[in-house]
Amino acid sequence: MGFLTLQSLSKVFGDFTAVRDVDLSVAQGEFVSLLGPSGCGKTTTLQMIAGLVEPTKGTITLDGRDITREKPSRRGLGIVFQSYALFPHMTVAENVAFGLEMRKVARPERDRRVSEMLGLVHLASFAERYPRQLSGGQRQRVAIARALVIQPPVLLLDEPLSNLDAKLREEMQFELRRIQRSVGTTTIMVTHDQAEALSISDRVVVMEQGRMTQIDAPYRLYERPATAFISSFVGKMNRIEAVWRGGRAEAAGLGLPSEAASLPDGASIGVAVRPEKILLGAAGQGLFDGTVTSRFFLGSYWLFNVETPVGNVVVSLPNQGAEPVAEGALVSLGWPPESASIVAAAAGAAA
Amino acid sequence: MHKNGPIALLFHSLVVAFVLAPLVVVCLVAFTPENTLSIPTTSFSLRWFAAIFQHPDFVPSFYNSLWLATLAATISVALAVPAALAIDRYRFPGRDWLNGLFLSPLIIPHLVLGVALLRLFALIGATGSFAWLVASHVIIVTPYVMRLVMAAFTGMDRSAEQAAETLGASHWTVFRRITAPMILPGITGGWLLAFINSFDELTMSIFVTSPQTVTLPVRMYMYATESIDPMMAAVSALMIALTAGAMLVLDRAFGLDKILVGQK
Repeated sequence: MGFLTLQSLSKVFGDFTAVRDVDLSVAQGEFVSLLGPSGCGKTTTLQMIAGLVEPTKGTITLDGRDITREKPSRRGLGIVFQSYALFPHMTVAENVAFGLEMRKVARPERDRRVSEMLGLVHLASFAERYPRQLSGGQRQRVAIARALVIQPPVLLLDEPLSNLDAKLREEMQFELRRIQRSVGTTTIMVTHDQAEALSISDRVVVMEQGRMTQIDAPYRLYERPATAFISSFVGKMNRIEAVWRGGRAEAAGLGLPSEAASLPDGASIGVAVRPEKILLGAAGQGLFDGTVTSRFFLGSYWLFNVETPVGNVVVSLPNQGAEPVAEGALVSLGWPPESASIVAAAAGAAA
Repeated sequence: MHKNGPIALLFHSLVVAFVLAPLVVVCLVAFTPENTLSIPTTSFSLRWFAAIFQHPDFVPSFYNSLWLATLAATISVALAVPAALAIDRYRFPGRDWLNGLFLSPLIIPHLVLGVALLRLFALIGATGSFAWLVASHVIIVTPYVMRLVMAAFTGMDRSAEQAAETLGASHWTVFRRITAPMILPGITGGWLLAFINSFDELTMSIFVTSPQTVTLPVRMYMYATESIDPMMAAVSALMIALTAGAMLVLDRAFGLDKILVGQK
């Protein structure tokens, strides 16, 4: 039994089931992300844990205590809202002190804990400012400090980085992880950004249409996506429509190496290969040849669209300094069998 | 920013002139030494201002109006805030009906309301009571407060309240520490509008005031039906000065933008 457990948790709004039979067990100190597109039920799940939305069915237990019907004010969880939800009429210090005040913590200790927490989020010199005088990243850190100062058993983050610009978002990801590590609080984060989920979580929970479809460590999620949806949602993925014939995948008359599978002859399948697993070589030296139709420079790597007999294939190549093949060049593509997985054919994969 | 062309500027100036000109004329007339309503040409005089304070009725009426408007605006805020909160936050039977009821005094002509209340007060034997005058003013100013407070509730970020709740605050504490300060611009704006409307109200008050509770507008009206002299202009000029002074103080103390618009 985990520290925080959800058991067949469901939420129905009218005739719409937002969350369907969610089971999750989170260990103490763990950082878990709920990942999915908007409308998948991840925020509703978080709000049920917070107590802001009442579950239709199921139970939530925290450290062995059933909190399913407990008021949010008694659960004592720390929550960082997407809009940060800072109190605009209070200074940074007053915002952070609010939870301690509600717990009737004596003034000297309150001041000490507030300044300690502001130090942790690097905002010590901003204590007397008002939220409107802060940048987005600073506001976000105030929201984190306010949630953590009450030493909650669980920290809930609702799309905490979505209101920040790209550069800041990346910085804050690591900042968030640093803060979480240093206080050791069990954390659940809701996000629609797969990069964010993969980079800072211990485990990622993928949600689709109200259900949890995969719970795994980030690298396993990336390497072994359980559904077609996950493989396309998490990272980039090439899908080559193929037919299983004689113990291997075939497309456009070419045999494609892939992991082993036992399928009937003539079964329609998809071969899924990540762009970075494909090896680009000189024409005639790989599995098949193709023409580079476009090329994008993305700083740390290059992205190529290659027109091949089996369709358009996306290939990425780390930037090694020198300029790689130009548009219009003839290249060969190849990959080791273990890099390609067999997935359901497109028709049946419309999840 | 977009710049105004010469024709637009001319148009704006005309609108502003149209709004301000009557006020300027009234203020000028107030300083006439003559016995008729005329713009002073040769000299200025304060005799009509002095006349107000020598008149036995105007000063008590002014205090009557001041008290009345203060009480009516305050009571109406006390009623409208919980009502607006309920209508904004909850779905209950009769909600639309209640919303309509609170706003209906805006639609009913004050004349009709005045006659109806006169009849009611006569029936219950409350004619001439100051308390019932306050009650009737509360009715007509509440829609203004409701509108502004409702707008403040609608425009506010509910997650701040949720955040306070998850930090351990009770419902009452959330309201006192978070909700009320956040809708303060709506409340102060509503109070001001209510005050001004009550202070200014004539049509209904004619019916429901008694000789002891005559308000300033009613007093001015009664005076003007008997004689037109520059004292009316002097009273008007004083009221303009008072209002402008109050606005100035409010602006200096809180910032009018912040109170009425909620800009930070």
